[in-house]
Amino acid sequence: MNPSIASPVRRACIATALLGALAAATPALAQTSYTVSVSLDYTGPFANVMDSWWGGQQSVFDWWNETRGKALGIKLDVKTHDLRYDASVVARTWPQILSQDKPIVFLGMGSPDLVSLMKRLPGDKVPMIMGTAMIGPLWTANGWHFSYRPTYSQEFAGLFDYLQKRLPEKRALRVGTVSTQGLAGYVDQVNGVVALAKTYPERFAVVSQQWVDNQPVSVTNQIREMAKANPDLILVGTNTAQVVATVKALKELGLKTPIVTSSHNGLNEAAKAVPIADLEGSYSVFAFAPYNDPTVKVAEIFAKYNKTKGTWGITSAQTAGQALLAVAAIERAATKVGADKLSGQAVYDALLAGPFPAEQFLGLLPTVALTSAAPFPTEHLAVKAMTVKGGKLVAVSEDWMPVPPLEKW
Amino acid sequence: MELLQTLINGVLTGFVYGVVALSFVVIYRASKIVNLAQGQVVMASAFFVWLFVLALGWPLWLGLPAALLASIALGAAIERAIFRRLIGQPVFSVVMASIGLLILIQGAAQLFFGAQTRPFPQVLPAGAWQLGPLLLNKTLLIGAVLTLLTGEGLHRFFTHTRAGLRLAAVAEDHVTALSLGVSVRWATAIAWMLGTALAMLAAVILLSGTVLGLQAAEIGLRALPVALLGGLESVRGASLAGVLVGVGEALASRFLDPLTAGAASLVFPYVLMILVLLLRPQGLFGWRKIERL
Amino acid sequence: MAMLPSGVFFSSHAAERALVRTPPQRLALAALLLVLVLLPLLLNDYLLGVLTLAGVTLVAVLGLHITVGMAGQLNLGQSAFVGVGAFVAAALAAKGWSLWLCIPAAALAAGAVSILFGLPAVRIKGFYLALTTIAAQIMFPIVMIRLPEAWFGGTAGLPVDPPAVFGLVLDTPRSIYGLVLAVVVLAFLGAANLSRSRIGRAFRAMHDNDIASSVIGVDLARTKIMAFFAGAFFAGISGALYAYYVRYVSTEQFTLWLSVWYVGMLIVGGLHTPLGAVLGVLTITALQEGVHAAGGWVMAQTGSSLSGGTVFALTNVVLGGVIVLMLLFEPLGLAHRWALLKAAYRIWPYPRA
Repeated sequence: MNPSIASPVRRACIATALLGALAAATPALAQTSYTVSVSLDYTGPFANVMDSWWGGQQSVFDWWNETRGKALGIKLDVKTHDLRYDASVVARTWPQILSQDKPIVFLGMGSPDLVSLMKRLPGDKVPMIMGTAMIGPLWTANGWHFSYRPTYSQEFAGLFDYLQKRLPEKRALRVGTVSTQGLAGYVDQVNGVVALAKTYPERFAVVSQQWVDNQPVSVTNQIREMAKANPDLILVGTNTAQVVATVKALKELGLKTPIVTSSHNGLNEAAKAVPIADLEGSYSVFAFAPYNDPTVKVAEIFAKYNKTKGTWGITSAQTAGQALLAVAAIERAATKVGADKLSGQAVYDALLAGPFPAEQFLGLLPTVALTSAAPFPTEHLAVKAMTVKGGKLVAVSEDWMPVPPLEKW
Repeated sequence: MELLQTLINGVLTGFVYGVVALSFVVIYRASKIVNLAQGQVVMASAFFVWLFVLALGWPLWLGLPAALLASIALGAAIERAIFRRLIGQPVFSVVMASIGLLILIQGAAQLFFGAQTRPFPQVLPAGAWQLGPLLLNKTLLIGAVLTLLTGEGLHRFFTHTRAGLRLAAVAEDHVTALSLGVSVRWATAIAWMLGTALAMLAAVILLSGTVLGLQAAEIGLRALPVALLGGLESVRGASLAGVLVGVGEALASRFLDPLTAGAASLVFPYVLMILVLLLRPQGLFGWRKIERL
Repeated sequence: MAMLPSGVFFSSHAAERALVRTPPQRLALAALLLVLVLLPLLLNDYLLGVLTLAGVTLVAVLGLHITVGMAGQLNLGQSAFVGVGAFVAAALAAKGWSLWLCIPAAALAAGAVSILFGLPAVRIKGFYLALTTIAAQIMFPIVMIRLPEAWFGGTAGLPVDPPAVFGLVLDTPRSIYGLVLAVVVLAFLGAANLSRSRIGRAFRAMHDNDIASSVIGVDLARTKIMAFFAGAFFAGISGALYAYYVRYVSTEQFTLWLSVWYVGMLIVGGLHTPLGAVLGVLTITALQEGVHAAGGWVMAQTGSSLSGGTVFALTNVVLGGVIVLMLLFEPLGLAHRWALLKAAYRIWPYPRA
């Protein structure tokens, strides 16, 4: 063949060949794989809820990989680790997780992960996302650990705000607290509520603080003391045994004061020990939507993608929210730096780059606005609550209840 | 009047401590075995009650005796497998064995029953009786009466019956008892069966109508100071000591807790225990042992 | 003292009393140390971490061996003393004190606290003394949390920065392993030497028969308090190392359950020699990791968690069962079996004495 004539043809051939090769290679390049590491507990105190816990996360990740992830060209490889809810196990496993998984985000379980990794994460450049509520002592700035839930006290404040506005008279809402001394989170819950009352004295008042045993035999004495101050609500945010003891004490004394609980010691837990009729009018409040709220589309995702033996309930809702925040941050990071350049740093920047709108969370979470000032959102905070009406667990309100602004106490 | 109510509640709670301490003391009184795992034994009995009454759904009049039999069988099994071989061994080994038992029962309970909390049947009635301005918790009051009756009955058994006196010999010293023809094996078997039966009574009073979880075993630690205060060999002393500790705790909770951020009522039993150990190790009614070279 | 092969004679008292007496023993020791130093190159980070934590536990259990094995004072509050050491080390490290000061300070603090609880030892003994230590263990978190926040972090606990030695910051698994290894070797030497010293002999005399030992001049009260102090001293060192390793201390990490496990490790390994402490810690750690690994494998095979709590429960059942079996059939522990093995090897083909 005459080279000079074939040259453009040859160039065209080569170009086509190159384009074809590129086209063939493109599907392989289009999907970048990243690792997300998850802390679980199959052998420690939370082992019995692990199915639902992991189910909530796993279904969200699988759903995201199939839908939004595919569109972005990202595949999330989720690696679980049994860290036994023990800080020393976390401490000794973390180097391995870092070097082998090279995760872009870490999903923590609770305080052992938090305390062990708090100081290491900024250096290791992996953000951690939790699904549990925080406590006051952890309100520090410039951390790489985040939760979509604020402190317990702020969650309670949201419900108090809602209820105070609906009081028949214009007066402060009278709150009595039942808690245990000597357990970090439990004491802090009360401190936060006291701070709330100090900040808004005409709207909230803590009329009585009762301290009981962690697993009390009877709290009738203390509830009797409290009844003298005539509270509108009794806050028992600690554990199920104390809720049950309070319910019994109220029954003994012939009182009908509603109780306010959190997610882990909520109404469905207490209903295992006392007839649900005794819980009539009491509340459970937390910063994610109740699992039987019809606006929560995540329930469908769970039903479709869940591969574990877990069921859709408070636990899986809580962890699904955690996973949703993680993928929301990953999406935002991918749009900013590109799907092939994701890293822990990029996800961290994305988390702090502004509020995540509520639509991103398919009804499960309100707007989540994280800043470097705290490991949880301090603005746009909102909660939802459940109550017992006519012997059934129902949502208190369709809309999110905003949390009044609170300074660090 | 408030003070009276506080005292009454303290007395009633104290009887719960007393019955747990009683189960501990009975084992010691009849066989000189120190069982640090008594809290776990109470928890195991509680699980048996749950198993028969709630899980299998048997009615109370059938489920409770079945649970009682199961608890007694557990006690006999523990005695046969472990403590029978430790007869005559120093106290040290026996204490260590009870430590091993503690870990074992805790693990076995989690293995068979799982870690989640579950409801416990309302064996004793709920609510409270009104006595003028005072409230008396029904469960605790009935429990207190039962404790007193059982305590008295056991006291009679140990001091006025042949079998009981033989058991007292075993509590004094194993080898001496053997040399006098008392079967130490039989004594330890009786001790454990009585002890576990009482543990079930304690479990029922403590947990009637509340939730049952693995943390129920913590009551065992509360019972130690009570048993010590009353005297490790004194069956009557256990109830009285329980009342003293219960009342002390209630008073400390009312007057000292606000000053010490809640620490006073929590440490009270243990500080009391240390004081008892320092000043009068045999407790209020225990036997005074004179050491011989 | 173990039997030696025939033909080995000593010409000085010092040579006979030495811990390592014959050239083959020296060689074996050197080889062991070499292996320990080179382990980081062979193991992955996770196993290295397991060994490091086992080492930290070993220091505490060595202390327990002194109190319980040598002096016969049952101590069920060792975890509380470890906790005191950990908190003191964390508080001082937060103020900027160096590792060289923090660790001894932690040890002394733990020792001081133990004296407080050993004082009743003057009047009581045996089981009753054990109860006092249980009281110490239970009161530890209650009191610790209520101390001023500026001291020990209150209810939340204290974070700890990685330690710095000679300017080198120890924040990799290997470097912290090196630190722990060095301390473990020193602690082991200390415990082994203690039994050959005057106070060690006093401990053993008191253990054998306290009244007889007081007749020959052993001050019982002082010796008992010394026994607690020595045990807690080691516990304090262990606590400081723990604080540096996990980098956070809070009262939930030092529980009665842990104290019970320490005693359990000692029972399994053998109460009466430092080697028993080593064997006990290694065996129980291996059992724990083995059960967890087996549980994880089984769960992976069956594709779900057959109630994951089973693994945790199994660990306890196995450990409790092992402790009870050891007490019934080999109360002197694995160290005794090892000594019997060595003796049988030495005098083979003659039967064991």
